Amino acid sequence: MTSIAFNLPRTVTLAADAALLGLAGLHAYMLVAAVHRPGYLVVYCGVMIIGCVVAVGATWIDVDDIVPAAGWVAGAILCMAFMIGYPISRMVSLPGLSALTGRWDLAPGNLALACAVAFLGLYLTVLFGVNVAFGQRRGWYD
Amino acid sequence: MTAIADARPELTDLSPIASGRVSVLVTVRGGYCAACGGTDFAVGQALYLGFLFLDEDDDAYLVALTCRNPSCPQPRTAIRLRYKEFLA
Amino acid sequence: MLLDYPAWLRIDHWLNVLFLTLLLRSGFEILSTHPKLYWHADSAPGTEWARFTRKVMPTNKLYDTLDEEEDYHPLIALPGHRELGMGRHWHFAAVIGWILLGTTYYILLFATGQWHRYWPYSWSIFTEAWNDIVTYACFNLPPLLPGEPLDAIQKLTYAAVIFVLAPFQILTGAAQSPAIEARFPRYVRLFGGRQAARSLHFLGLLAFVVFIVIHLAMVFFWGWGRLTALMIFGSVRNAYWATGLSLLIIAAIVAVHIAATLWSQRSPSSVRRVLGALISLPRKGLLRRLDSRQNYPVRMLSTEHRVNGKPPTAEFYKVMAVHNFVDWRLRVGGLVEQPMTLDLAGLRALAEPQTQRVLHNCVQGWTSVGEWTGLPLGTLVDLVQPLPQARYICFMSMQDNSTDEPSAEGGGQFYEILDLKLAHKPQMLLAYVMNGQPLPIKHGAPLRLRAETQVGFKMAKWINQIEFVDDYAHIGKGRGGWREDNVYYGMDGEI
Repeated sequence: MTSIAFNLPRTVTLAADAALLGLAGLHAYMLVAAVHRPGYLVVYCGVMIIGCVVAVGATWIDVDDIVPAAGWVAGAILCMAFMIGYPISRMVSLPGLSALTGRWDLAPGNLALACAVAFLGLYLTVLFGVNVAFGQRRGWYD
Repeated sequence: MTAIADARPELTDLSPIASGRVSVLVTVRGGYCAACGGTDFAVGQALYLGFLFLDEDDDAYLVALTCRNPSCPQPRTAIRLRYKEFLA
Repeated sequence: MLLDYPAWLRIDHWLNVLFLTLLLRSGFEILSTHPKLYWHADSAPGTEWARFTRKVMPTNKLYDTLDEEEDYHPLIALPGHRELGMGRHWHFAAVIGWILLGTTYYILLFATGQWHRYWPYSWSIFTEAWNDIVTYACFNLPPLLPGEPLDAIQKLTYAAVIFVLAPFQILTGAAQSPAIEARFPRYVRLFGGRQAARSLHFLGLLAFVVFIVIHLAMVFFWGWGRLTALMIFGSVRNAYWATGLSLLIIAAIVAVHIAATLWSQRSPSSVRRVLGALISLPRKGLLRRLDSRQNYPVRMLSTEHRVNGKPPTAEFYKVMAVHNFVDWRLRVGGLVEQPMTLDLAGLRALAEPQTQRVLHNCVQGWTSVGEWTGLPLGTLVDLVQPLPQARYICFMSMQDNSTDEPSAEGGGQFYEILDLKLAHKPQMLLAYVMNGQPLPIKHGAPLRLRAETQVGFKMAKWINQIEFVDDYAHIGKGRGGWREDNVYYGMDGEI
């Protein structure tokens, strides 16, 4: 049992979903604001945006123990993929996006990193029992 | 003015059977009034001790006894019993 | 208006660091006493939204809120190790200092025109603030506002902390004073209730912690030497000296914290005396005159009123209880013209019973709403006619902490002392009925005190003797009550 615990399933799930939607929104912004839009970028952003939105939706479907948890897992996979992929994309030269090579001072990218870290942080707190997600119950009665 | 109930919620009334068992137990255990030596008691209500008092076992009860000797200076006493001895 | 760094601003800044950190650490000590946060005034077990303890309470035995107390390390709490009395003294003393400091700051800010360093000149600051966030996200430093010492997002943050967060903490803190709640129940309902005020106060603590972390990071990234030179010398010069001096000031503040902790651990009675003298000024001067005017509706009565303190385990008590306290006697005496000994029926017959539905405030921070019926304390006082030299009422309990309460911080018979001047205040009651039924054993049967402008520890339970005295120095350890003796609480319970 953890020495810090919260019983805020809706608040935690809302916050995590906000982080995922932030991640999706920033990818949408990238798509819209990009001067060059190579095909793979469109596909990648599309996958991220749709994936995040679906994950968000799943976290609110409290039908059993599996569906909302699957939403969290999907979100975690997307965030981890971004957290690994984005730094790599800064180090290699992306075809069709040569202007961005080696640049870390990209506000959308850093803000998206912050969103991914926030989501993963919240997910870890749920996994460790510090928080409960929507659909889970605290068995507190003293 | 709020109506005040007199019945104390922690005390339970005993059925005639339970009261009878308590009387028998008092006799069997040689219980007597510390104030006058009498051995005839009226059996009153029971108080469950197990929850409220740390120093009591979980199944401990206290049953009220009142010495029937009219001249007894201190007639009210009690006997400590376990649940299964008089309520089961 | 030149927005620079006048001497008063710099001095206030460093004093603020001292007071704020004292408040944070002592605040954690207070939290540790009941490390659960609720939204509803009932503080019903299991309904908390946050819990900072691993302890699980038994279901087969009565437990009380003393069992739920936690023990925090002195690194986080002042003084740490389950010393609520000390924590409260430090917290209230620091509150006094912080409010005085804040008041001088506000006055000087507005008198000198320096308030514009925090208060925006135009709405465009919000767009500029957003641009600043984007700039920070690019790992760059945004420009300062023209002619000002801060950038837009910093300015908005300082305005929020100084004009919103700080007053918010003071207001939510005040909403936790029993005296203020009793006199102004609607004020507390403004925040959503007593427990909501406590939870919001905690969120304010978190906000201050987050602010401090970001503030320190900002100072670091903008140039520690340069900015501390501004905050120490008032101008950008001798950056190395400034860095050194800033570390010295911080070390001094840390030293004060260490000294406060050690002093509290080694000589709690002198901390109680010294800080208590300071705290009693507003406590007695402002809060004591407040009278309780509570009348909560029946629907707000707590289904499960929390309990603090376990009933007497003495055999005589249990035998009395099983006979519905027919043999219980209340001895009222001491410095009075007409001492008396009363049984329960006699006590009830003394006057028409008074009923009140009130919020009980435990010193630990939990609350419950209950209905109490009994004899107004003032009526008993008038009947026994205290002698002119009588100044205090000592309520003695049948509870013996040596045997009855393993979570107690000491042993011996429980007692509490009340100033005689409080006896005729409204809703001062000797209660023998709770929620329409005879006072339950766990709540103090057959008689307990209700003193609604006071914190709960003053309201002695399991009373069997009331003595009128001229001085309490010779009773117990001489501090005016069992909790005062053993946990070093102040004798007055208005906050």
